[in-house]
Amino acid sequence: MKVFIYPPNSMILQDLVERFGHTPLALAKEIDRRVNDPELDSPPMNITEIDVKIGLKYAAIEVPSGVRGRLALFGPLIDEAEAAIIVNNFPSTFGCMACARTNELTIYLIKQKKVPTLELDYPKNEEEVEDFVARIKEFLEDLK
Amino acid sequence: MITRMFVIADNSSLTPQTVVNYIVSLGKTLNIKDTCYGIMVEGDGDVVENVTLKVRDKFNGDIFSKHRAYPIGDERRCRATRGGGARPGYYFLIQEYKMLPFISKVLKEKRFKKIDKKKVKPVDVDLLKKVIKEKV
Repeated sequence: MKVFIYPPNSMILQDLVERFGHTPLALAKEIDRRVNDPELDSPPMNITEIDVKIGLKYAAIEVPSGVRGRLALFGPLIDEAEAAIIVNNFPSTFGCMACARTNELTIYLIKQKKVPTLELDYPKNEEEVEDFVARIKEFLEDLK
Repeated sequence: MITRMFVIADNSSLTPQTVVNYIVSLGKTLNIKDTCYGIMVEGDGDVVENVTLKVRDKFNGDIFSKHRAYPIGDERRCRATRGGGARPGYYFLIQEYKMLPFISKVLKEKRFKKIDKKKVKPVDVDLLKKVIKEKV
């Protein structure tokens, strides 16, 4: 099954999803497609005005173009998702997930899709890590 | 052509060179670079995915992997051509790197134990009304 991970750039989530036999929908897939395109219109990420228009499918016109640009990356992944793992309260330095409005809209879109979703808090100690991995394992095994 | 990062957990005795040697022994056509946190592997999609499965089977919880969007040594990301400083995306790696020893331990020892988290109950409405009457 295709599992959307949030934050979508998380290595730990991506690795655990693969380890327990599913396909992670991670941000690298979308960025890879753009940055390795022979037509580089807008380096470094190659987010063009076309992407901002794609973002209109996921957010209203009043929403800032930055949010729409980000949603143009996350949106196609959410469309493909058959399940989702959401990690809340992650540190602010945890990857390039610093746009709060995009994060809110992303979680909203996942919840609107009504796919099986696991919500967790970012673990802070060893005991919580055990719980974190155990819940992810149980969720992914139940998906089969 | 895809690129994958392999990050070695801090508590492991595994070295990037050991992983490189193992991948070389598989005899596949790949571009490999060793880094301070592990290695990066670049090659055809199927070959890289196959190598990832084999590396995961061999080193189990000592090594973690993710797909990387930019190719190895890409000028838009590589520090060598950007005048130093942490490359974008490195901050997330630092955050996750701190958690890897714990996750590695859980995976190796298979200690999948859930904690029953107590839900914080909201304040009782009557109690709240009483406090407001007394204080305001």
